[in-house]
Amino acid sequence: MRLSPLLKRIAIGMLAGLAFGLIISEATYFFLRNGEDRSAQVIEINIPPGTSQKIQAGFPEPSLPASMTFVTGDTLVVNNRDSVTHQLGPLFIPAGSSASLKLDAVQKYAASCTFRPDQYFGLDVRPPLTLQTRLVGIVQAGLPMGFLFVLYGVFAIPMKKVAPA
Amino acid sequence: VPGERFALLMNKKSLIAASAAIAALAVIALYVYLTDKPTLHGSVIDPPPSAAEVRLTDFNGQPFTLENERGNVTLVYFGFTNCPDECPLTMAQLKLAMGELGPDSDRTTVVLVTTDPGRDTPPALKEFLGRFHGSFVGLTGAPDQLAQVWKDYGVTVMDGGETHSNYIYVIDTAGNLVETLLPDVPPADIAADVRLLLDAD
Repeated sequence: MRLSPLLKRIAIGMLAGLAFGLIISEATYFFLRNGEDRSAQVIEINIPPGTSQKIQAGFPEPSLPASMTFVTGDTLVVNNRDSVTHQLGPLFIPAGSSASLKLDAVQKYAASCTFRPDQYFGLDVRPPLTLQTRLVGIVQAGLPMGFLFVLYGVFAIPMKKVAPA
Repeated sequence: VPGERFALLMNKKSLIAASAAIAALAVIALYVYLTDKPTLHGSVIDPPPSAAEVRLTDFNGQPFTLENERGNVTLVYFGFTNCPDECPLTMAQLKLAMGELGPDSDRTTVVLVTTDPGRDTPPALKEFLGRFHGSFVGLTGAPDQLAQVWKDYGVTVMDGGETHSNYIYVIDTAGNLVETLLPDVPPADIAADVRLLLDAD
């Protein structure tokens, strides 16, 4: 099947645009991904015995990072093995109990936290980054570029005149 | 003959296939029933500890204890009547939740424990809460009594009561602290949680 020169330029332009979108989107994903390319799961944080005493004495609590990235649908579980009640943002955890919260909404905030020396804990809840999200990104970047390539190919580069048979 | 045709259809293989299909449907229904149970919307505490006793005085000058609320779901919030934002918004959310609950609101107690006893006199508490719902209870007490309740519930009170922790504590009918809710939880979710706890009673 032979395509007319115009259709060939449109096809090449769209394919080049999608290839461009693929490279840009996937390169961005590769360099900026931060743990959100997974399905929802249960994430546990343990508060060991004696934490409040260590905090009051000025010792750092090394087991907990300053911030964590979650995806929507994750369940955050905090197990309080300490002898006093602790709080982590929306979670209130009595001594000897656990508190769990399903993170349903995309949000990013510095939550007050009683078991970190600086009293703050960064909670960053992002939408899960699935294959579908990446495909949408490729199409969203690739289609406009494809149209631009097509416009350039059709109007900026003169067509060769086909000799009559 | 129709009778013979029916007998032919209902041979042994058909019966086995039909039984297998019914059994598969029953297993799927059981799985959905077991896994699709309604859940609480807040930060769920497991195992739920017995809620610390609240021995204070209500805005009518009567003694209040959580023990007397057994059989009801009790929603405890800490705040103050001159609050310009979170406290009235939370009370409005709880008022809407009471509306959603309908008759079940009779078994629901909403309690506001003041964080500003200096200005929150019993009449001030009564006037403030009366704007939202006739059944809401305002509590105050001696400074040491209030300090003990604040401490038991991990409530940090600063700036003369104007800065305070911001949870709704949900206490079930048996007096256990089962979850904490943030005030921005939709009233429908608050009502669903209360109903779930009443049904579990």
